[in-house]
Amino acid sequence: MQMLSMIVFLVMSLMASIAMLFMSSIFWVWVMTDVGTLFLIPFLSAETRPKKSWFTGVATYFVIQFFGSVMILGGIILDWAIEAADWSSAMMCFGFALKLGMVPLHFWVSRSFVYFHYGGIFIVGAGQKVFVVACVPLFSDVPLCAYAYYFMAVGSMIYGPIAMFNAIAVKSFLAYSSVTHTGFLVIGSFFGLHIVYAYSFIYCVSMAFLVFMLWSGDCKFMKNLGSELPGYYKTGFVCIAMSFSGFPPFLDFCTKFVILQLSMEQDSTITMVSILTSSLINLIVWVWVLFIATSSEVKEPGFLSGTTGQNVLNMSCIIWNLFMGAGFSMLY
Amino acid sequence: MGLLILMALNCFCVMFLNKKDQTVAVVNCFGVWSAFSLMYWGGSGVSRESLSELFCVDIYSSSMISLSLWICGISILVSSCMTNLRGVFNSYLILVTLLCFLLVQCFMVNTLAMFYVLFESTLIPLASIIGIWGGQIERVPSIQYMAAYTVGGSFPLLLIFTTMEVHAGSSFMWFISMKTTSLNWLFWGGCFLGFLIKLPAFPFHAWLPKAHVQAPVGGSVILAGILLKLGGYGITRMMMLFSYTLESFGILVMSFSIVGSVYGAFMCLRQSDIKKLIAYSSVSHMAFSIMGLFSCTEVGMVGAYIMLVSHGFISPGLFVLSGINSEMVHSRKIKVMSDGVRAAPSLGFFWLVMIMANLGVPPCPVIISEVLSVVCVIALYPWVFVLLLMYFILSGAYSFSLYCQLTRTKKKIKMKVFFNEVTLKDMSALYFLFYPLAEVLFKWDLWAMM
Repeated sequence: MQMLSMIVFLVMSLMASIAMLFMSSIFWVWVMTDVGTLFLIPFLSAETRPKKSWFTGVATYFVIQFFGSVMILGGIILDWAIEAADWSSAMMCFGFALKLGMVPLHFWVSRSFVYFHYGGIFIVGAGQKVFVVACVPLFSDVPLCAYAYYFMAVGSMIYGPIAMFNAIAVKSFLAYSSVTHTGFLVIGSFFGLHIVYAYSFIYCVSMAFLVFMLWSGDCKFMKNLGSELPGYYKTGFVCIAMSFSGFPPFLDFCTKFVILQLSMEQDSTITMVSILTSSLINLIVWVWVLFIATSSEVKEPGFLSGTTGQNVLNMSCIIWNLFMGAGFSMLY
Repeated sequence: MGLLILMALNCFCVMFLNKKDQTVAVVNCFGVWSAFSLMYWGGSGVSRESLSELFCVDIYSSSMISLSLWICGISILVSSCMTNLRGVFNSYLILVTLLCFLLVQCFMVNTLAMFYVLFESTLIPLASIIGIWGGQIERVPSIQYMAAYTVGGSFPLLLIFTTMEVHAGSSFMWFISMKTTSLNWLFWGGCFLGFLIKLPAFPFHAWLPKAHVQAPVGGSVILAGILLKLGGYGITRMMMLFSYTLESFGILVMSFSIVGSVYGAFMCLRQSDIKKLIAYSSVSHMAFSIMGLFSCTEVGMVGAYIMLVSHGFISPGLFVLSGINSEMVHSRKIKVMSDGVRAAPSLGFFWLVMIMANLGVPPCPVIISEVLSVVCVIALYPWVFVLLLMYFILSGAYSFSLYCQLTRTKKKIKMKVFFNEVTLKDMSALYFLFYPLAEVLFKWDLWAMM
């Protein structure tokens, strides 16, 4: 019953988020964003083994999202009342940036993620963010907001991998990974929404694989990843790690390369430098993660040693990361 | 293309053999592929006879392809004799074959974009080999160093070929040349940084000793034998594409290389770990290749490729010997390895031969390369000969010191060796390295056919 209710609330949140994409007024965008967030609260609160910690995470998430919504609504009202376009845009911009968890407004991301279940991490870290990022182009005609988003995105891309290095808990690691990818999504929004949608789709699928594998092993700490990650998923995890490291010809290299190419066409030197810096630090981080994940004190079951479903998932993950990069490059 | 198809089909067939036959089968496959690759050496040089629009070969790529196939076969041969390869040996076969496949493609592709992708992709199997079969916990930072240096250094190259793709529509690198007459230092730095790090050139060499120390014997053989040569090949292609007139940038790189050769030889004198010594020796030898390449003369190019190919056989030979010797005494310390040489005196003979080959004693082709490179450098500035003289003295000193330490006859109360004979099977990898060296000696002017 609890699983059913989680699914119901998730679907309702998804419907509200999709509806948000088709709204023409900023007020209704705000409404649908908040509705989507509200429906997520029961989903995030659901725990098969109730414990006190879920409350902390959900409460933090709710307070931050509420404050962000207040800022957005305040900006809308300010613009309606006294037509102070720049100030109202700045307030709305602050609200959306807080919801996205971009540097320097990212303080809540790790604090919340540590207490979420893995489904919640995927939805909040990947699913919800891609819809909120679609609101960023609304402010592209306000120079103050555009520059603010740009530099926050650059900061997120560079800070995220550095913070990933210091993560002790797996969920904290995923939180900062989410911050990094949010930066890439926002940078991509400057080049066109089609890039955002393509990158979002790829990011969501990759994160779905990653989160599922970590959930199946109930992984808690980075140092125990090798022993907690199931052996039959290790090959898939290795592929994901290599992809997120940025090695060609894996998928994540191709997506970052597309953004790099677009920034080169626009002669955006700061973007190019930040993408390359972020990629380099990311590479070192994920090589470290790869090592932790593949080291184990006990003999692990090997490749294709799980059930049919597990093997299918593992193979799908490998195919997705290894071959979809070429597919994406050809399609794009 | 035919070579790649042959490789894929052979690998498919090998999968169905018994596990104990697979090693021999794979080694034989490498022999067949090496023989097949010699077909590319004939003809008019540049060949576009291919089933695909993706590949072009000339004498430089042909020699590198043959070297790749030969060295990867040697790597499997030597690893099959080692007892320190834990886990499933088939995984090692797969990784080496995959690496070889990527390398062969890398030396054949005709676009800079594909070359970059394959250049970076070769890092994955090597990192896996070091990670799985490396001996110590320090292998993790060594891989991070290697990945960061290699990938980070090639980021400017990524920008360059992306610019080509964006503005020119293609990064095809054959039969075209730049129209601009002057290219600045930033551009040349971006072009060559990744390859100089790969070679490795001084002062970007820090990753190599760490990687060699942590890698298993087979990994060191491949790293020293062919992966470093990717850098030299890349430099050749970039010059072919953009310009052979590097002028002041080339002189700067040559200056660093000269200092690097002396530095590498000096560091060899101070080493007690045999693998680190061979790694620093590689640094000083590759400096001569860099001097030859950046002199932008035909003589320099010939000298550079002689060094690249010769070093590709000599350095793996040294690693094979160090692997066998260190297996006997379970230590890489040179002073401890002398126990192994005393237990198996034939090793002393082989050490002498390989050390002399490494030093460049005639008739080893290394001396030809060093002479040609020295000629190129002195033509620019004669007083450089002083530094080169220092290099020759230091290289002689460390070679002599190494041999003396390995073969010292000071009596010990108890010799600690785990086995005291070296069989033909153990040395087979070494024998297969001598023949190509002789070929290089007799065909050293191969790369002069321009």
